[in-house]
Amino acid sequence: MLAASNVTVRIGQRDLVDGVSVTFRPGQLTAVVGPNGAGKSTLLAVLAGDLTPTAGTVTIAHRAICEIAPKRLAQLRSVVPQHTAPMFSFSVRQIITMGRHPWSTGADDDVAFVDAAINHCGIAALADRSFPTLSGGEQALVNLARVMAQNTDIVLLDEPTAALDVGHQELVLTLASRLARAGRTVIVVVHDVNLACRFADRIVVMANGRVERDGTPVDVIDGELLSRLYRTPICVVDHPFSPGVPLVLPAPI
Amino acid sequence: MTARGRTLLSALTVLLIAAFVLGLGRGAVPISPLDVLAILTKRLSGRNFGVGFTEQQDAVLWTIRLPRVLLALGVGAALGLSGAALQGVFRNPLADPGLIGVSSGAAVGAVGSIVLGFHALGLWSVPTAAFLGALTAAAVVFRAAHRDGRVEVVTLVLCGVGVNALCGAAIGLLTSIADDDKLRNVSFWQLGSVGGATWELVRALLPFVVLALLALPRLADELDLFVLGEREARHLGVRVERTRLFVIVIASLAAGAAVAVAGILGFVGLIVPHLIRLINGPGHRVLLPASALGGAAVLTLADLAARTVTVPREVPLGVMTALLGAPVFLVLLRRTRQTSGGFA
Repeated sequence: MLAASNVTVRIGQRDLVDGVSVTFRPGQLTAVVGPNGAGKSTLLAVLAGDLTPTAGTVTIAHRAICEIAPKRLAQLRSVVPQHTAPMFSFSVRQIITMGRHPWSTGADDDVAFVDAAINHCGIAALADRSFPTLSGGEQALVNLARVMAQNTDIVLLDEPTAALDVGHQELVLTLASRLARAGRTVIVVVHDVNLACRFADRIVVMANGRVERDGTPVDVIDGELLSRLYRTPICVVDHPFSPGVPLVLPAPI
Repeated sequence: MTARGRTLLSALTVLLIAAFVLGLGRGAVPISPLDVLAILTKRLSGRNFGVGFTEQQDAVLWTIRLPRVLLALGVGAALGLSGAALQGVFRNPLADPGLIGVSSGAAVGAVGSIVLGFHALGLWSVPTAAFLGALTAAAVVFRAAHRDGRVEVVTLVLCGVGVNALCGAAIGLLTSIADDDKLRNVSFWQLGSVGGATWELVRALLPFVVLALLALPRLADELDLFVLGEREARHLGVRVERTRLFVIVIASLAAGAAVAVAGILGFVGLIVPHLIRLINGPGHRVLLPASALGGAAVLTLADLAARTVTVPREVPLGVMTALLGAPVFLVLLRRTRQTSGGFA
């Protein structure tokens, strides 16, 4: 269980995250949405242990994250970055094998996890390619496979779909929600509220460093809220083909 | 380690041994490879196999050529290894100790300690001062070019230009106020040479090279992860700040000691790791030892060429490495531009 309690991150005079308390449970995919500058990525950095909050604590299974040794922490949580651009041309398989670094369970085990991750993400055809030669969508899948090889109970994804086409966006979030179905705690920061509505079990809406709403997509997403937060007219209708899923449409009211 | 990696390391070891024997044998007094081995055995074990070498050959080999070849070998290993390690930690194929100013920082330290008369640490005074100069230069470029866990390439190289210019001026100033017998001339520090090799210099260099050889390859896996990015490395359990500091300090020690005994030798730390990456990919488990072996072999051969091509004159070793290295550097820039749209 990953929990933030009363977390504040102050940089200069600004509170990027302002007194946020939120608990994430296994088996759930939680999407964090909100306008630019709402503090989503800062919150994720705090949850990942990259950033020590000015006030408040982050705990994993009731242990403060700052007290967990880096290697142990890497066995508990993994992070899919926005994009990675290694300068040197490692092969896809080498990159995914790096996900095994926190574990020292033996080479056979590593190969098994790496193969499983490659198959899970459907990138067997790319395994021997050089990472820098891949398209953005393919690189995102490789990053996801690396994190799967890391085999942690908590998986954080930092805007994994930011530069992807629709097909790859669907693929990445489908794979992420499978991780949640398998009992892991999955937290995704996304810009696209529709993606969040379709894949998330729970949505945390952030604005000005605070949690504005927190609940199931149907409960938290409404046109009035989104129009106010994004400062543009937005209406929310029931998805015509997936009843019960909100569909967000930017439109004049 | 892959079969290819093992083959590469074996091939480089053979190349290094060949360069070593060739370097010992060629010169004004030629010594055949067999005699080289016979003299070495006699000197090391006291046994003479009765091969017909002369006393002159024996003296030339032991007092002149062996220290020189060993110095070239050690300097080459230090530069190759520190280049590969710095490139890993800076995530940048251009982080050559010469290019980013670490070598000229070391030269300022070395020249400064000689001219200003710092010898509190005996034999190791000059290497230590060179190390401090190297570390200062590395810290300056790193601080200037590092932002949000990434090192900006253009800033890094431009910083190198600035640091090199400043250090060049400082070396010029220091050498102009020094008396002649105190200091070998400016060109020694700026062009580099192992011509002044003595056993004492070899002994001064040795501990730094051994330290780097023992310490840096242990961090091979961590350096692989650095290539993903510092944040990503941290997410995979690497103590990023500690590893980075450790690598920069050890690499500066090695590069600094190399400069202290041989002056600035450009491009060895750049082209050797680059060629190894072309052959075996960027994995540091092979890259680090292979760069040390390759650097040692390349510099031993370059020194052999420097003293035999224009007999009886000698081409400065730094001129030799630049002649070989600069074109490779330009090709490297071109290739990078084609594959990833340049460094801008």
